[in-house]
Amino acid sequence: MDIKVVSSGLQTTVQDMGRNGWRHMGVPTSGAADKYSLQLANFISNKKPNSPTLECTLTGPILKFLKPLTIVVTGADMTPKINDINLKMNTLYTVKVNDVLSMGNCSTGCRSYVAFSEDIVSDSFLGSKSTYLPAKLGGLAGLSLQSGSFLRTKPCDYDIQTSKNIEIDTISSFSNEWELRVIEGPEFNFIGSDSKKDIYGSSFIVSNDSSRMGSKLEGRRIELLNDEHMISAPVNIGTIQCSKNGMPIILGCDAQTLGGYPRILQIAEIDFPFIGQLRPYDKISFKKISIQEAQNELKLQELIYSFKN
Amino acid sequence: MTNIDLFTIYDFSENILLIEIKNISEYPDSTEIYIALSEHLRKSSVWREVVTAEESIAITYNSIDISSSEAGNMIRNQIKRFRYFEGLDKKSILSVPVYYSEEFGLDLQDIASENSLTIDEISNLHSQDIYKVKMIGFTPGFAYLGDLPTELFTTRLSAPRVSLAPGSVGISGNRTGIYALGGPGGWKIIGRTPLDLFNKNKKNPFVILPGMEVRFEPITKQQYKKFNN
Repeated sequence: MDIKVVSSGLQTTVQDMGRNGWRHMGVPTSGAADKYSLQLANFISNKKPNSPTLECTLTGPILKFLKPLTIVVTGADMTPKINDINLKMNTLYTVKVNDVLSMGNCSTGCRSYVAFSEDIVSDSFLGSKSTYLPAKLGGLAGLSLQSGSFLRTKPCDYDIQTSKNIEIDTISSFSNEWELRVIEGPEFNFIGSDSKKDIYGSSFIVSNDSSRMGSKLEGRRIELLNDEHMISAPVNIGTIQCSKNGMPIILGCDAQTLGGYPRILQIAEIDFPFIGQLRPYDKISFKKISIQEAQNELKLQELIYSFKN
Repeated sequence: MTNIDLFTIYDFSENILLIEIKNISEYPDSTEIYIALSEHLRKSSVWREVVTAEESIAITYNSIDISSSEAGNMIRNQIKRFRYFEGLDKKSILSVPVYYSEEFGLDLQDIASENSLTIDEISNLHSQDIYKVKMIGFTPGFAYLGDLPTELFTTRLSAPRVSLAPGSVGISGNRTGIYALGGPGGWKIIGRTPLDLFNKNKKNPFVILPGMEVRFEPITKQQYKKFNN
């Protein structure tokens, strides 16, 4: 027993880079909702990008360490403290036995990632330790952290050869307004011409009805010209479906693999990490980009942030 | 050899291409073509994901390494080498025992009153035909089977359930489905199978696969309880 969960936080789960190659069997990719912050946490800890970390949601946990470890917190700033001292985000810190990490609430962003110098002992399912709560798979017996329980950690391989250093101060913090880059989806033409303008011209608000599965958006109703029943078709993380009542839904990392609503927009992969940081009442606008631009952005990101070694 | 002109390939995103059969109404067995073609594409191991739906296939490629047109050309070459029926040579019918009762069939009573049937009639109708697995997806291992007898056609729940038990058997529209691993679901639930539909020791641990044929077999509470002992 290496870490005591004094308080679980709102929804704290074990997450890694997710399961790949199983979407054809209905298995969502899952993994960290913000895979950029996950990789950053592992990078700063000199760990492999896919190492399991704790994903905290809106309100973080309180953890008491029963063995010395180094830790780092990335993503949304939940004002983490070690005992009573503020812990700087994105910075390695060594904790001693009986030190307590307490995380509070965040006012921007939605999810923090806590990486330890050792791996959290957790269940693997189809090659990933990420927790998929709806079917209780992976992670800690498929569940979120429980107050009063204990975590075990075990030594792991380090990536000693980190190829690039990251300037901590250049890591941008989050705001409550997001401009997400999108590509028009296969059923974009199912929506009326006024709605096509509204989509780019107006903004939407993230509803309270949001989870790792998806975020519902409120705003100007989108007019669907064609509301006949659609045969379920492939969807992805970042697919924006338009439900019958004209409300768009952004699919998250735990979303279903097939969907029966018109796929009006697709968020570019470069912006996927932001989907995991959307919090209720955040304001969103969409900016149209081309397939080519989206590919170029991905390549550029690969060049700047090479977390792979 | 497959005629590439029968297919449309277009961008879904910066790293996903969709494949669709043109003039789909001319191909009554299009679902099976999609299933077999997906198997063929998956075997090449060059794609990150090959997701099969009833009327399209989504291919995820690594856009850092190849462009959309390069990926499209690779897919076209693979389709040219595809011979239909290659994946469907072994046909066996999987028998799935189901305990139809209100204990697990959360919506049996509602369907009985809406469709003017008794619970026995529902289980008899549901287990009379052999179904084809039309597709797998939505939640882990969820199998879409069809077609249901018209007497059992029903709508979805207005609000989906957050979590269903593994083995739950549901119906919606002209389809019946099995929740292999549980998860959220909006279909009306008529019973549960004790059959373990996930074998983690196998390379593909999912027992029900696209293209398979399935027959439901009604069992009693005693048989349900004894099944895994």
